[in-house]
Order: sequence, then C-alpha cells, then structure tokens
Amino acid sequence: MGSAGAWVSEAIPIASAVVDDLEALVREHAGFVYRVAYAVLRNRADAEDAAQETFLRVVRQRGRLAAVREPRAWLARIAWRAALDRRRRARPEVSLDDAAAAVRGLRAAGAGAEQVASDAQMLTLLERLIASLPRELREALTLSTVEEMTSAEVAAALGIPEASVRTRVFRARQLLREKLAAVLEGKHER
Amino acid sequence: MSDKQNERFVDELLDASLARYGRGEAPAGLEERVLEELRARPAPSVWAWGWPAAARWQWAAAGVAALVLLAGVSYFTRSPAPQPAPVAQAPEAPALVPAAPVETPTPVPPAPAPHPNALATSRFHRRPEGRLGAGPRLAQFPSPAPLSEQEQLLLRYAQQAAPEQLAASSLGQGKLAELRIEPLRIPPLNSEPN
Repeated sequence: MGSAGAWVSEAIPIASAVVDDLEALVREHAGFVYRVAYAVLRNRADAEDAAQETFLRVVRQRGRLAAVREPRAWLARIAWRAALDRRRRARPEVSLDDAAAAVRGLRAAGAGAEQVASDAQMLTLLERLIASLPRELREALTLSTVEEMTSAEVAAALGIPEASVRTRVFRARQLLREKLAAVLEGKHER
Repeated sequence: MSDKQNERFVDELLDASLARYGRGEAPAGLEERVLEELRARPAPSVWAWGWPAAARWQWAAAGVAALVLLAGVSYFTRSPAPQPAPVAQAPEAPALVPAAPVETPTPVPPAPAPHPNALATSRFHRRPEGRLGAGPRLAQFPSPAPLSEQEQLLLRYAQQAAPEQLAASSLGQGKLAELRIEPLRIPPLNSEPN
C-alpha cells in the first residue's frame, strides 16, 4: 500500500483514502471481475483484457467510489459492459455442427453426463446454444452462471428486478434444455 | 436408451455444463497485472479545463440555460425599431420621442401563402403589429388626446354651473328625498344559561 498513491495520478493528487480503496478493490475483486468477463467472452485473454478495462473505468469513476454500497454488484455491472463492448469487436464463429457431432459421438461411446460436460466440444456447443437464446434470457443466464453471483447481484448488474432474473433464468434453462435435446437427437436447426 | 433416460441425461448434462460454464478461474497474478496496467497508464484528467468532469456538464447546462433566458428576455423586452410616423394623425397629437423621418413606403412583396398542411407556425414568430409596440413610443403616458364633443360639453357645463346644482344633478332630488336610515335596534344580551 505504500506506493498506492503514486500510480493513480502523478500530476493530480487524489485523496489517499480513494487510492487505497481502488487498490483494495482490485486485490479483492479482480478474480470476480475476470469471471464475469469470462462468462461473456469465453476467452481467457479477452476476459483479462476486459478485467483491465473494468478497473480503468473504475478509475475514471473514482469520484463515485465513496457512494458505492454494493461494490461487487457495481463492479459486475461495469465488467459486464466492458465485456460486451469487447465482444462486439470480435466474435469468432464456432461450428455448431462440429461440436454437436463430437458430443453425440461421446455419448454414443457411453460417456456419462459429467464426462461429456468436461469436454471442450460440449463447452463450445453450450456457448453456441446460449448465444442463440433471446438477448434478455441470455444475459440473465450468463451472469447467473458466474459462481458467486447472487440473483440480487445479477439484477443489480442488469438493472432489472430480482424476480425478473429468476424468471428469465428459468425460461432460459427451459429453452436450452429443449435445444440440447434436439442437438443430441440430431434434430437441431442449422 | 428410453425417453426417460434421455431426459435425465439431458438434464444432468445441462446442469454439469452450466456449472462448468461460469467456472473460469482467474489466471495467477491477475491483480498485479491489473495494478501494473493502471500504474502504467496516465490517469484520466479529473480536472480537465480546470473544472471537475461532473461540474463541467453542470456548468455547460447552466450556461445554456442562461443563454436561453437571456434570449427570451431580450426578445420580450426589446423596443420596436423606429417606424415612420403615421400618415393620418390628429392635429393635437403630441410630439414623438424619436423623430423618425417619414420615408416613402417601399412596396412590400406579398407574404407567401401558408402551406395547406401547415398546422401551426413557429412559436417564436414575432408578435403581430398593432398590439404592443405597434406605434412609436410617446413622451407622455397616457397620451393626451383632443376632447370629444361630449367631453367638451361636459367641461363647459361644469365650468358654468354652481356646485349645489352639480351635486343635485349627480344624485337626483327625488332620490335624496327617498333616502331613509332606520334607527338601530339592538336587543339586550341574555346572561342566563340555557
């Protein structure tokens, strides 16, 4: 913490309490911010970049730090937006057919649900299926998959009521289940 | 596999996959790299232009509001441009403050006909002539004007008639005689309780 005051601004002195808050925020929540970004971007390097961008945005808004009551929800919202901005720039296409064929092959070979789930192709398939959901359902589901995010934090990040989060997540899982079943039976839409 | 087994497999697979989906472990040393990045970048200036960023918007909004107010005030309080004296004017009309020279009227092109679909003209169009500010400003308010025929007759009568005669004429004699004031009758107060 000794060098904390030096990095935020050389030219403009800022209250050391704010600088300490910023550094504490990074140390405490960087992993969480990364996971929120990763849930959106599905790429480690992009997620780390989004985490960096998130804290840069925090620095720009440091005047608000003292007024933030729920730092995790606040950070999740910023990370969410940073990740979405990054995803808009580049979104590599993933072949749904290849992933579906690989998953069907695993299942035909007698692999259990956990074994199939741990396969990279299944992850790719899930990404594609989630990407095909309506935006509102996709957003709620994506954030709710981040391990430590409560529905209240998801609601705060998306700016919607908590009850809406639960409804959307439930509906998203229903749709995903239907799509996954269709894929496993080879009846999915191309 | 039966349908029931299929359904159970899909449920388990979905649960397991979603659990893994959001399990991205943060890479080691992420916090230090974030802090290094923040140290390396110059902090965005909070005091650009010498004002805090938030205050800048407030000042800009206040400036715009002041300009609008100023424009409104100047629009509603401005005096009309000096205009040529009216052609037909009473001989006793007072002198005008700005002695505007009488110019020969130049032919004014006819105003374009309004578009048939035009619902309303601009809210900021000029006030129609003939209301406030239609004529030149006069030296005295209210402006003295020549007496009408009735006023001249009344003035002549007032100068010639005696005061009693004037009082009697303002309130007719018959009405004075009819005027009666009833004596006041106030009943005594009842001090006993009900």
